[in-house]
Amino acid sequence: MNIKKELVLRELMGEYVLVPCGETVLSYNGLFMLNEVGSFIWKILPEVSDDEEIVERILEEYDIGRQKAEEDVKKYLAALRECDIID
Amino acid sequence: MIQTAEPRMSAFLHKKALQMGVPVSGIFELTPDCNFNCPMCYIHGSQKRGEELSTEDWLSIAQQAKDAGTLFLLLTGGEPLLRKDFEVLYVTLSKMGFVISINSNGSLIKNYMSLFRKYPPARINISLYAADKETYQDFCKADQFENVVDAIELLKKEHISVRLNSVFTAENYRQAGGIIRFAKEHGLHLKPTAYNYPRLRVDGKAGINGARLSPRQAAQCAVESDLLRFDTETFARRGQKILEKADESTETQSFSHIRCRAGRCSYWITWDGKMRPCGMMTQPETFPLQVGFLRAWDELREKVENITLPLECAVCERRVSCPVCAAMCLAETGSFSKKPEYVCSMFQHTCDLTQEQLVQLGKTEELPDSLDGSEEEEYCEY
Repeated sequence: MNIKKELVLRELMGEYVLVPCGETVLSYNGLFMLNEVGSFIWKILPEVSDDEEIVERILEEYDIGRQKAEEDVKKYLAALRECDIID
Repeated sequence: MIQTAEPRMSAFLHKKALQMGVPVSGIFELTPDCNFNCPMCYIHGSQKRGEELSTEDWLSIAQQAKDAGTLFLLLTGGEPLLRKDFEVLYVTLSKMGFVISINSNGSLIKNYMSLFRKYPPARINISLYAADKETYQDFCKADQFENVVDAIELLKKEHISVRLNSVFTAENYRQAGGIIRFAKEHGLHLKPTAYNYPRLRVDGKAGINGARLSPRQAAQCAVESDLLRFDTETFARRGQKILEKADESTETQSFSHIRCRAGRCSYWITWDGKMRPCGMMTQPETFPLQVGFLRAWDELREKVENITLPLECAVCERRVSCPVCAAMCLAETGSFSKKPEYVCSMFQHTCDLTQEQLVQLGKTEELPDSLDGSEEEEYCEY
């Protein structure tokens, strides 16, 4: 998946924070906080092609049911699309 | 899995950092040099002048700071845009994932507009000490008023976040109204102060700042500024907080130690590489380039924990809202444990004048807190 915005993932104090960089600061001058699974998805986004692949990778990594994973991924990607971070 | 909210997120991260002792916020004082010469400046004009840190030194500190948990970074000076390597430093720091703010007098902003378009900072804080060309030139010793106003408008046009910082002294306090009007007309947040620290870093003398107002004049300037800045309800709410007194249930223990972020989750690196709790303190200090950032931070925290503030202040009935801090004690008296009379007097006058205004406004009854969070506490950035 193509990440359209310049965001740097920072891990500090057990929190995962996406920091806008470059022109992205103009479209979102704030911070995005992710949980651990959210940061995992962020890291694999450039390598995956669709939602289903993300779900499969989550199921490989975490002890979580398919339905819950699908719901969470759907919500997560919708939030990223709402912020115009991905297509 | 994803949350977006600001500045609540910043407040949450600072609170967590305070609990964990993580240096989440840093201030890099890139240079003591400035192309202005303002009378109350706490750094410019120092007789002792050695070499500034190199580009490599700053980037080494930054990388170690990032690894230690620093997220928020304020670049200041002097005038930081005077550094010849500013662009290289700034772009590298931006790409490292810091949330960067810049303090500037605004006079060189135009030279950097293409850089700021490409890498907008989270915010640029511009010092504005007068609202007309003549006073500005007299005060700053620089014919830059129109240039700075143009720069502010240019930044706004590019949607880059701007805040105005102002300091009122004996020379410019009559400009307060004009500066507040300017901020309102331009839709800008203004952070003013009528308190001027003694210039301990410049001349080594505690308690002296020839440029500042008397405690009563400074209090009057502060209260009158607040009346112009805020609507009646907001002024009244803030006023009631100022007048809040401690009662029997208010503890004293924490008031005898540093309560702000300085040396607890934030730090200041001077232009020559010393780590201090804040820019207004000349001690304690540690040396990140010599011992490494993390060790310097741990040493600084330990020293800060051992600082004891004046007993009189810790048990004072005004302790809940008095702005007194360790830096003020040190700068005013040369000691952390002596009560700073100037600050105490200024605050007493502020309380008296605020009380008078509340009576005149008919706002002596207790008001509920604001619901929209628009009056959130502003943190000191020294």
